[in-house]
Amino acid sequence: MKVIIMGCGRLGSQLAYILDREGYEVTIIDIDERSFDRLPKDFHGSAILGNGLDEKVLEQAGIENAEAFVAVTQGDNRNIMAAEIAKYTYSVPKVACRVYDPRRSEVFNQLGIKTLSPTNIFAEMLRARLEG
Amino acid sequence: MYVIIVGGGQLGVSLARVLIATNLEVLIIEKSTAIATAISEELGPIVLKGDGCEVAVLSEAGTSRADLFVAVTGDDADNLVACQVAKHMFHVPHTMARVRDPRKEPLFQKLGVDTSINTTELILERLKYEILPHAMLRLLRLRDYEVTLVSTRVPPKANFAGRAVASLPLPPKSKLLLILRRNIEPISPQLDTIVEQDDTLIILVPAQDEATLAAIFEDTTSTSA
Repeated sequence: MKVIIMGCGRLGSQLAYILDREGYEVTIIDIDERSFDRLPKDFHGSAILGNGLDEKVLEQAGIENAEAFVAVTQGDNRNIMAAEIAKYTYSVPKVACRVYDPRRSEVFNQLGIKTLSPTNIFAEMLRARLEG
Repeated sequence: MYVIIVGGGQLGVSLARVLIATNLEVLIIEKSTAIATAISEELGPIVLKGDGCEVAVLSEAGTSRADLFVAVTGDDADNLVACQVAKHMFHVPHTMARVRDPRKEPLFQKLGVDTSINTTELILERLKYEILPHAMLRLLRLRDYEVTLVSTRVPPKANFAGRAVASLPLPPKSKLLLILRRNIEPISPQLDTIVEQDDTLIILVPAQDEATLAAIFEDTTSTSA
């Protein structure tokens, strides 16, 4: 299964590492070449330097036959827009993105984009920890 | 009428000036403190400092009673997301966004931005027209009718120069509205009006036939620089 990850920060590189180890065909995109240093030495996937909002870069990454697309850059809006491009322009079956702002995350979830808000998730986990 | 403008750059502020002059209620949402302060010094307390994509900021701005929401920051993703939040969470009846990357325009339309304005394309059209005087210039796209108003010039040695309007090879359903010729009054064309070289023609063309029309008026005599 082919997966494209946009953003090779701590989260993106970690996800790439896990999926690669599990045998997924991973392509990771980032605008900063140095970010690829976070990938393990034995990473089998491909790393593409470029802007993940650029259709040419997405096509180079093979988005037309990707099964999944994940956007985890630092920008909420960039992640949302990239996810929308993947879903609506390229009909990628599984699309997810990170949105720090919990309320924005909720709006786009309602609009059919699978968003995950680390802010919400961690707040709930921390609360559970305090109660436990 | 209440208009919210996201982005206090040149475009946002110029639009605010125009709208204020016509007595509309205007609010600009701007991220940068320095820019927000500068705007309020000029235009008064019509600026909200904050991120126009954030639900809390849009609530504070009273977005649910806005009639029009215009996102004109320099970032396509910010403009798209702001409009989507305004539309789907605050039910603003009309949203408009500036788009810089021409390839993103179909996405904006698909995702419910009511009017998207592709600034790159607008400027490109103007530049093309200034550099290549016989190039077709798109004056206005009327999306509701799927037609475009264009201006084009009759190139030298065009085989229809010196002949009647009736023999112009225009695409079906397009309409020649006006002929402009130097030093005389604009001409409302009749079928027997003679079209001359270098006349400027104002034509309404079905959007799908823009390229066909451009090709008809292409200047084949000039060599490209």
